[in-house]
Amino acid sequence: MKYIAGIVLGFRDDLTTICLSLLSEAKRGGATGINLLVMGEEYDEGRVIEAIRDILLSNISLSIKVYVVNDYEKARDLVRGMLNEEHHPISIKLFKGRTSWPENPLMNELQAVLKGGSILV
Amino acid sequence: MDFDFILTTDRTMMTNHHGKEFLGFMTTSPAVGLPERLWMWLCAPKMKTDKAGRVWQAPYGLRKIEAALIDAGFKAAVVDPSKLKKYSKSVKAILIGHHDFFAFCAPSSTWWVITGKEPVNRKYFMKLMESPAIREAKKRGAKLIVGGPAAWQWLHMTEYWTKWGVDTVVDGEAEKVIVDLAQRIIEGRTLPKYVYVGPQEAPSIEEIPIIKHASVNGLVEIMRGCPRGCKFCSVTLRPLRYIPLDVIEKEISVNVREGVRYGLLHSEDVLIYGANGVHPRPKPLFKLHEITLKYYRAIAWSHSSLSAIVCAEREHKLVSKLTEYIFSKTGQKFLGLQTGIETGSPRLAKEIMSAKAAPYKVEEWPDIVEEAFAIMHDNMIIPAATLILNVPNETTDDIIKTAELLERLKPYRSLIVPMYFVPLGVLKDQSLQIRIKPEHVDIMWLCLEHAFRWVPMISKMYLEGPFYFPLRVLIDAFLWWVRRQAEALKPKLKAYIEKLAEESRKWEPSSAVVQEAEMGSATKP
Repeated sequence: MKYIAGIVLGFRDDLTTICLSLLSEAKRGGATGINLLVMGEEYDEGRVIEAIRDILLSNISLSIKVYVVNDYEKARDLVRGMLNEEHHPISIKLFKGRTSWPENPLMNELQAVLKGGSILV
Repeated sequence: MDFDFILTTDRTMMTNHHGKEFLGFMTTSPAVGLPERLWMWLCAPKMKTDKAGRVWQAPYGLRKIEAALIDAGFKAAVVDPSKLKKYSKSVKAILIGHHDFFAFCAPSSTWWVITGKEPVNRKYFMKLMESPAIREAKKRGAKLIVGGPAAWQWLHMTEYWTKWGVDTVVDGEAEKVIVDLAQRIIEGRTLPKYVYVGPQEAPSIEEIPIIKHASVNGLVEIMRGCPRGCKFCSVTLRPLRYIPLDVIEKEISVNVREGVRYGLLHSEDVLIYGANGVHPRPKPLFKLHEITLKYYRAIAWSHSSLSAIVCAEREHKLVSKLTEYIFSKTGQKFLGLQTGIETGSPRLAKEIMSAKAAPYKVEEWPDIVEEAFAIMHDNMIIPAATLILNVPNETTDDIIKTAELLERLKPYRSLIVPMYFVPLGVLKDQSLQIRIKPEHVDIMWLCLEHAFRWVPMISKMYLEGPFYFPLRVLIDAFLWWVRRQAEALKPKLKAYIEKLAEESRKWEPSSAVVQEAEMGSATKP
């Protein structure tokens, strides 16, 4: 399984664009799927799905997993799990949110782990 | 007995329809002409269960997921919806499968449009989700996972997704991914909200588990995927895999061991099992039937394409030989299957299903359809055929061509069911909106007349014997009622069609858009 991970830390109102860019990058990079992690206190699960619905409906070729997490601890476990051997993505894209979450320790932790290997958008 | 994972579905799915698969069609409609309780008894009788609430026969998809979980070491079982309460205090997750959760698929959506009433499959699914057993389990922290061929519908119904607390929606072949999800549940880790299994991650033949218990009406899968690439179909997105004969035999044995002595060979196109491209080959098909008939006393084919029927007969007289073999071995007098006509217009066929006629030219599609119907009629195969209305870019001329084809099909013993287009396959991003055109009413009327001509005879053959007498009486009563309603409706039809014509002028695709689509550059109306 070759996949690309997209981690959205904090609130973003452009999830459709983010999802689309991940899909196109996955196709360009020969990945078989994407994992999208959307994390932030403001997220409503239904709204997240609605925001990316058209992208999910238009996709037929790639595997997709979408996680929506409001809880900081869960978010950290999920990110750690994703970065360890269990998932080993071929590429990680980190999307910085526009609210308080980017300032939380998870962002620093992530950036340290990724060591500049990812793209911060 | 304790289970961590309970698989279930609503009453309209957890039934064997009295052993008569075609009666299952009635679960996609609201109760009409009969009280709902009687309607449900007719098409969805309650399934026999053991003390633990485990059903005798379960939908094949649920059986596959159950098998995947058991093989991975989890405690899982398919339980009747009426017995869920037993487990609401202990279960870790409830897994619900369905082929039409919200009745958006055909033919449910068509009956809904025609009758204006909510189909029973949707009604009973809603009832299941609101049931005290599920609410209690959910309140206690059990996870709720939904999936199956209609998983895409949840993307349009996020309010119910949230309201019922559905944790994960799984779209696609789930045998592999379900094991990962189960592990996450046991370990208390976060679940994804949505999982789509793409074709590259679909399970290989070796990864598809063998069912552990009986499937509804002895259904066994002989093939997965389809090579024809029709744009409105999701099956065609899956890689093509022929299930090996030894696996098929094992699954048939499971059914027979549990008392199911008849079966349904399931594939999108039974005749291309082991085929050379789309040219049917006698050897694998005879081998398949030899093995099947070693165990089953009667069989049916789930689907066959009309072009495969023509090709098999023209090249090897294979339809005649196979039916002769089946009838001589079983004593059954006919063979049932589902098939797709979809349209009578070669132009539209070329646009949405260019390989449906293969190995013949798509321009010959109406002739292929008629030839296949004639072959089936001569060989006592009774098809339930579908037509798709309201396909993107469908023109009045396309619908007229379909009506002309229906005229040609009058002499052949069959059921023809018109269905409204459902956005699936590569067209899954199209609108769910149904637009009734005046010409659609003509098509529906022609199909109804075709049913009046053939259904009494078919039902007599299908429901033969004293055991089915009460069902036959009810079906006859229903047909009588429909005929009366149709007669009463006839005088009002002209005014209705005129009203539709007036409305349709507002949104009819312009000829420019259609032209563009013909050139292959657009699929949106």
